[in-house]
Amino acid sequence: MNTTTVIQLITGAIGSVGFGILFHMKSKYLPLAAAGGFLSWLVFLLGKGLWGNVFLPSLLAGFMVDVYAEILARICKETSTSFFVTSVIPLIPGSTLYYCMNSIVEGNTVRALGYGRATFLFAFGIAAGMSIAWAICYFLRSIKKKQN
Amino acid sequence: MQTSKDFLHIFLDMGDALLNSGAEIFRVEDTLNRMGYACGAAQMNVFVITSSIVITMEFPGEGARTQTRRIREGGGNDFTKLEQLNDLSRRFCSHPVSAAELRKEFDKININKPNPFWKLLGSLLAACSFALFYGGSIPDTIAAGIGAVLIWGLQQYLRPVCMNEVTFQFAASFLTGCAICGFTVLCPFLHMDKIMIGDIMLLIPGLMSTNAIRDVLIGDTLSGIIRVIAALLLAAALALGFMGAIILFGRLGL
Repeated sequence: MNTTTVIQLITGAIGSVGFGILFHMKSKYLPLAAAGGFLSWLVFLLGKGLWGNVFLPSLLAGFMVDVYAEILARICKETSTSFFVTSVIPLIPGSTLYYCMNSIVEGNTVRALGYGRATFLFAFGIAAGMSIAWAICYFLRSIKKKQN
Repeated sequence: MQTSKDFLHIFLDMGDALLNSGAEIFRVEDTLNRMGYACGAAQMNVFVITSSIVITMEFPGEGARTQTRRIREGGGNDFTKLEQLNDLSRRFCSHPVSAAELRKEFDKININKPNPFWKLLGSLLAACSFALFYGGSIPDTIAAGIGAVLIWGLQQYLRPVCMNEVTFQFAASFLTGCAICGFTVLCPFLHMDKIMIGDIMLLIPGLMSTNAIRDVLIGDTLSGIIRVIAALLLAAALALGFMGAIILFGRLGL
């Protein structure tokens, strides 16, 4: 745990709250958005420590965040969308897009391609992770319905 | 006796409002289907893509009736409204009411507009924290905050007069990029990249691309493709806008 990590975890949580306000989330759920932002970045960092690249960590983070959102949706009796969207904010690849763009301006095509691929893999990883979680939730719900 | 004629219009309005407050495609289809069966339809067919809603309803004893709605606005996000609409549809499904009554309740929800100053606060908070997140210093954070205020102003006043979302995205990125380049020229101790990343987070269609890929993965392929193309266009406009500003200031020798 170094200072950068701590700063990132805290600011990631605040950023999630910022987007929660921007998307007109109910104010009583804003602390949950902060917790979600914190969780998503924490999972991503842990995954990155384990595997080192971009795709698998963002897949794991997307998965965990969707599970978190589905659980909260059951508890609060609200849609899972609002919890998922705000929690996933710190994972959005704003920086890789910027560096990709910057490399294009500098004429460094190799670096630009690398960053462009990272940007895509981030988005794809999050979406794949949440789709897997979503499919599992759907599966569990169907089984529960059949048992009743 | 209620007929499909009474319900179709309010259902289309509800679908429209759901889509524009950030609901997923499958959620809109599912909600409208449930509501249709709840109010007594024998057959309910709902087809939703990001730009259109088609509903065919069939009540026992009368023929099928279809109406479509073209959706022009891009998907915004308003989670309070989304929750309220969701709640309304749930209540309707357990206790179906008449179309007029549903309309009254719906209008009560739809009339609420979020306060623009909350949006300003949200933008400020998000831009500042992401400038710090990616390793900016305190002055960088303040500059990103000023950029966020600029973006908010552009969204309030420039967006309504822009031809479409892509044009606005380009104009907003270019102007914000110029402002940030200007800051770094005036105060050389600022880090241009950190400030720009903080403000890019406000404009980037990241959620849109994630939603698009998810739409494809869970089976709404057509909506997913529409969203992927839109997100790519927006990202390209964003990149071009910021790149234009950087190149402009580079050429000026600043």
